[in-house]
Amino acid sequence: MEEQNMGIVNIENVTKEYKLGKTVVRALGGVSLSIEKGEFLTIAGPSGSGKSTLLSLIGCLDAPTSGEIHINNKRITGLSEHELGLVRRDLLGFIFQSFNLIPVLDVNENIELPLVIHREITQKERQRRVKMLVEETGLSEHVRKKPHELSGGQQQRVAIARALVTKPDVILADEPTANLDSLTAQTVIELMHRINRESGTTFVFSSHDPAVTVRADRVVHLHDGMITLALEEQL
Amino acid sequence: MGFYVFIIALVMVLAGSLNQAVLNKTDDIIVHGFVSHIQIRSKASIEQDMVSMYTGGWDSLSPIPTDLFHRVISIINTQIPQASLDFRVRQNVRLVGKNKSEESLLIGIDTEQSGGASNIRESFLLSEGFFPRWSGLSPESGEQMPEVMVTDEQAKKLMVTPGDIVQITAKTAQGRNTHIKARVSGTGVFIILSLFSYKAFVMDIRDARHLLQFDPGQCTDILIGLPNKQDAETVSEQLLNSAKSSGMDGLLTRDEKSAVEDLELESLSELKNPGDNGIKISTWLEMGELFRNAGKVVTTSLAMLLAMLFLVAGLLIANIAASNSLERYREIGTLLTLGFPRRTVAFLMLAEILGIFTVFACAGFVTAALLIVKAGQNITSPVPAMEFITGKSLNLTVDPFILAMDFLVIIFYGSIATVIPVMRAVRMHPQQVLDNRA
Repeated sequence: MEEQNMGIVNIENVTKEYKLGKTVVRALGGVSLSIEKGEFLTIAGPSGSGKSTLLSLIGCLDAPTSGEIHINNKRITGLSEHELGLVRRDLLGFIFQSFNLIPVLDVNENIELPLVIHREITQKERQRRVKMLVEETGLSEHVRKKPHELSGGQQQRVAIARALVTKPDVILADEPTANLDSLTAQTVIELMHRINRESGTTFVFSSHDPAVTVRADRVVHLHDGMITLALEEQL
Repeated sequence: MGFYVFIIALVMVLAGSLNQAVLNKTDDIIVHGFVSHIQIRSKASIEQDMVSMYTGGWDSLSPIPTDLFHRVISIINTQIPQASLDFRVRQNVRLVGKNKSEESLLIGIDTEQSGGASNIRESFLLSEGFFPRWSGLSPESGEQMPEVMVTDEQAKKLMVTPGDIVQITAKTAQGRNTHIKARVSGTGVFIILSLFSYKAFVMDIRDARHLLQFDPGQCTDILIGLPNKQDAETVSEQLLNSAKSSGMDGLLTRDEKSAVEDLELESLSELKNPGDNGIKISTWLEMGELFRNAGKVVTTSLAMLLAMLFLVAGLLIANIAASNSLERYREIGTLLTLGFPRRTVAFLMLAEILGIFTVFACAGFVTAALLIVKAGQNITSPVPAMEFITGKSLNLTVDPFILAMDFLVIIFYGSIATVIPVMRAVRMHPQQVLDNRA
């Protein structure tokens, strides 16, 4: 692939169609978007606008019907399931709306989990990273607690630490504050924003909460699978 | 899931132990009670498979010719010094009690030879009284009256109890009718023989010789005991070869077993050939084949029980594994999203399930082992009919090798029962985790 002056994520005229019986539903209709390294970007839009579909495609969890996606100059369209798994492992971090922590593991173990498949990282380095992220996310007092012993905000902070532990190029967050009250949501967004500013990690998250999108460098509005508006930094 | 594994492990160990106890007991009864490891009899005796005919018609038994007896004993003493010898006098006789009589098998044993007497004791469960002694040693009544030990069944039919007098009517070795009075010393049950309604009773071999007018030392059976019962076949061959090189070619031969269908009850006496002077040799495996098969019935029954348990528990475990996988779709999907390969996720889930299997299997094993160690010696036969095979006490033991095999079977079984549900679960698409908003 010829290296061009591209963003960390480049989406070129991507479409995604689903079949519902005999009906073809177009979830995305020709989306093009370039996300710069270190950007804190929000994909906003009402339910059914295609936010999650777009995140799934960037997250290598689904394949576009047409168009191309590049992450860190690597073309991901057309890769095998195994290769997509490697891209997710090496380049991406995920934060889920429902946190998706492993119930039987404690905070430390949940954060360390993605490193289990990074055999090149030593145990000492794992522990160092986990300790650093625990401190950074303010979870030092909860390291031995199981997810059910934590509040929603604390669980989401664990999920953020888990997403960061592999030092990915891009972190994708699907409505990360949807299950949190507004104050906690604000705290979580502040945390993500601070990490973004300090580490330069690219954050792409979907949300339709204006109180959250206000912190974004850029807000991409989706409506019926099409980008309708892209606002520059609000602050 | 753990509960089912625990039950399977428990039943497996108990069933295995019970099975081993039955097989060991069956072998012990055959070896120690009746035929020892190798048995030598007169070729003129016909008794094969009579057990399956439900008959007490042992009138086809013949004494071993005296000259052959001495020659074969000499060979055994020189060629198999490790062997122990025991002798039996057996003959079909009629026992007469209180106005009742019954055809029975007289078994003359050496009551003073510790080996011989203890052999019979192992196969005879004494209900009342005591084991018989040689009449020369039991003259309490002032008369030299032989003592006999009869089965409970005989005692009931003849209406006798220990201390009562019975009359024994028999044909001597010379073919003359004779009779003698004997005192009932004890009553009980012959393990195994009673299962087939055999009617046998025991008295001292010297009294039996006297009754049947055998020569001194003469017998119908030479029983050879070996330090290792597995050597029976090899030692038999050795004996046959030695006999051949000692000029007994054709006189000592391997017993050619007749099939049941070849023997008709009424023709047994005709089959007896007094003119045949040879002797024949059999091993305990050949002699006890039918009894061993009775023990194997228990093995088959337990195997069927275990197979059914495995089938039912297997379906339940597979169902639980499937439900568990469904409940954990979010966990599986999260791992796949984080980049875990499917086989790694499957491996983690299987390892977790097999971990549960290991813990609960060990708990089942330990519980079973404790039960066996603590109560194994006191457990009576669960089915009364089994007492004839196992004895009144099961004498259960734990074999570490069988325990290890049981463990491997359970782990293999666990893998088989859970691999399909797990593989189906990890086939999910990770996007489903994003689609489902709890």
